[in-house]
Amino acid sequence: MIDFWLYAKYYYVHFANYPLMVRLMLSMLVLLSLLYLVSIIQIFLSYHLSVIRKKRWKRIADRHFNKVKGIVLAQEVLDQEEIIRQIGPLVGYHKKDEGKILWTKLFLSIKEEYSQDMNPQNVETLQEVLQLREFWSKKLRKASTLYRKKQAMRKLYELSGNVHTLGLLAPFLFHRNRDLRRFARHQYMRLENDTPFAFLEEGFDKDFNRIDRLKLHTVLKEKEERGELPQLITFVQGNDNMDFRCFLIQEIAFFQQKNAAPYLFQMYKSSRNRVELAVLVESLGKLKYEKVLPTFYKDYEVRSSHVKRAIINAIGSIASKDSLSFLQRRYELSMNEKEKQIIEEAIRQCTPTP
Amino acid sequence: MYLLLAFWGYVTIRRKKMYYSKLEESIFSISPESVPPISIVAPAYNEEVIIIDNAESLLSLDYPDFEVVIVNDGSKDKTLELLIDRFELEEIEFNYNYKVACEPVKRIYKSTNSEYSKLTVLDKVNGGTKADAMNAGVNYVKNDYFINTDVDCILARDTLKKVIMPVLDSNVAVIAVGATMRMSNSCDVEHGVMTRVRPPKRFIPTFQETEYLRSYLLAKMGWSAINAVPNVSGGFGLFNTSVVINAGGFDSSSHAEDMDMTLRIAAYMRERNLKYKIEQIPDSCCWTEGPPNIKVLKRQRARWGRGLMQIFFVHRRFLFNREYGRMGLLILPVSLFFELLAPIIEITGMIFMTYLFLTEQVNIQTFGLMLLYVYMISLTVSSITILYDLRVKKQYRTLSEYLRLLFFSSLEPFLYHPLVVLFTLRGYVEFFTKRNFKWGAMSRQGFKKKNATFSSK
Repeated sequence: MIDFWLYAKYYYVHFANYPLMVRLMLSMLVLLSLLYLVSIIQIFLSYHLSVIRKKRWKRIADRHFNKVKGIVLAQEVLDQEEIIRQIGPLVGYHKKDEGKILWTKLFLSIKEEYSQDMNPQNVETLQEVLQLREFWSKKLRKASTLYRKKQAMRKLYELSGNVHTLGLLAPFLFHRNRDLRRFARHQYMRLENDTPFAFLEEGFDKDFNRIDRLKLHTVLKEKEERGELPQLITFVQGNDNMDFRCFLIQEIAFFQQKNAAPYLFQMYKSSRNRVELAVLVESLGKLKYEKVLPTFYKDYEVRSSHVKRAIINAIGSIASKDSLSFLQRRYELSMNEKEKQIIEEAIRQCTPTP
Repeated sequence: MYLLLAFWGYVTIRRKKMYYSKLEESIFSISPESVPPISIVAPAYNEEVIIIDNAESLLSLDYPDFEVVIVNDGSKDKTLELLIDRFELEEIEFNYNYKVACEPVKRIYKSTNSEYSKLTVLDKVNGGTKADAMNAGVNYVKNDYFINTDVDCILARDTLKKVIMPVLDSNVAVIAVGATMRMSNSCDVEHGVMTRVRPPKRFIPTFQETEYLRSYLLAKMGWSAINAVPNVSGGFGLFNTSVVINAGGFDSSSHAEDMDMTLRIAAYMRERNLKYKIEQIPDSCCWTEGPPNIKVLKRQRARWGRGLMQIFFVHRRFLFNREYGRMGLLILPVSLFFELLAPIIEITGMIFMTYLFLTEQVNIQTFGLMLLYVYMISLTVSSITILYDLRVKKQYRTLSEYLRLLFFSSLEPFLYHPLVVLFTLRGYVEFFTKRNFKWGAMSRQGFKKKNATFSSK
């Protein structure tokens, strides 16, 4: 041992006598060589692992794909014993994480292809047998890194979480990490029965952006299909986030919540923001609220070009008896080619088809 | 610097890979009415060999709402005729507005077959550069975002879903998004769809494959972590239409119109104190045909050299200018020293070292050490790049294909890099001697095996 340290000391003293530049380069060379070696090994390992994972996936898919497909697509309701009998023995399944990850992948790949035809009770029973939700719930609770938590939360979402999953979401609804927080809130809205729209009253999230719009739109569509969609106008008024208000106004028009039209009209009269005005106008047009027409005819001249275009589109959508004459007049007076194109389109909508 | 970029790039890749996955993309299928429509603009000049494959590829992309605009830039071959025949096109009346300058658009074609309703072909007078053709396409598109791509590029089917994600998942306006580009040489393409990805068989495109991966996966992913992406490639990039138009469109006189556009849209936003981001995604979205031999490489690199020199002349007011934030104080200075001046420094160093060797003033051991150090940097950076590529997605099927790239990266400093330096310097000389540059004709090999000769623009 002493010899080793004497030897190291000898090399260090020898090394310390070199010029600074040489020492720096030698140190960097050692570091770079290590990095290079590590990256080469990682390339081999990553490739090898991907091949092994592919083989394991292929083995599971070849053995179990049709069985699982048969179970989830079966018309009759199957109990746990029957499902276990059909799948067969899963040797070592409960011991290793990888088995559950691959089974999750198998289940989700079948779900992606056949989601419309799946028997929900069999799906639920199958997941209980395989303990997939328990596995990912445990991952979510115990994962040491944010990355793993996000992964687990996403898997739970894909497995269509139930109320037990809802309980797991609580720590993440106000998490400092924006991705986890927003994802948890989307899940909460999907799963919660008592107060699913609680976050809509707050503008959903301070980092609300376009992808949240898409996801929220999807959730609202699901709620609407189940007959659970409330009047969205209640969340519009008093909300400070303009992007969020505009989103809800557009959703009101999409879901044809005509009861909200008078309130939107009031908002139109009091709003000073061009973007919001344009969204209000478009939505009132889609809701075919005819009472706005006299105001739109009067306001047209004084509005910005963005709002003017929205007014023309709205008048075209509403297509009342006097819309056509207004549009024709505007077309004759217009000096703007783009505006003329929009007016032409609106006139086409107003003109009755033979 | 590259090692620092590698670290930042790793963090960014990990986040984007996990969060922008099939789960987010599935929303596009569930709510197609809510997804933002995208236009794809692809200029074409004398591309009869490849045009049908490319058009089919673009039309087969998996996205709910998009349009494809092919700009026939005064082709002298059968590019337009082939398009008209294949896609049953007929001329339409259209009120075309010249929002940005370009050569006149003569005719606009749409298909009579509803299957190809997404396709529009603009037939215009040749403008001499891709930028002019792009401007013609930008004038036509109505969507908020458009893809700038070349007609020799094959896009992955899920490209539009992947490239729009950073735009949607941002609280700040995203004005451009870039993605990884690769070489399509030696890949299998069937009806415009990439069916088998392989590294190129020929030497030059193989070197270029690793070079591209280094640039996209390491450098640009690293830069995107601090919102300092220097360039969204002209071969593939998503741009905000109104920002591009307000910035004046693509510069027809530029030979690096991609970097020129990236700088100008960034400057446009800075001058108006508007927050913005330029994003980069790690996914391989685009395959392009690379120059297969030294002659074509020479022309390509000379053009890039001219373009780079031109950038620094035209946009010199941004350099070291605080008003332009990261662009002026970081992106351009780094490009100046590590890209523009690098070939000059290298060649000066080579000449000086030759002199020192001849006059016996070189300590061989120290020189060898320095050479080894520089070589190890190159090897390490390349190996990290190939590892990232494998981790993002396993594009190649066999390990030998990855090892081929590794092997070529070990030869690159001796065989490929000196050529790049020389050709870039040639480009600088051409810039200063102001030779008359034309894009010229391009004959291609195509994606199927043909016996066509290949010459660059």
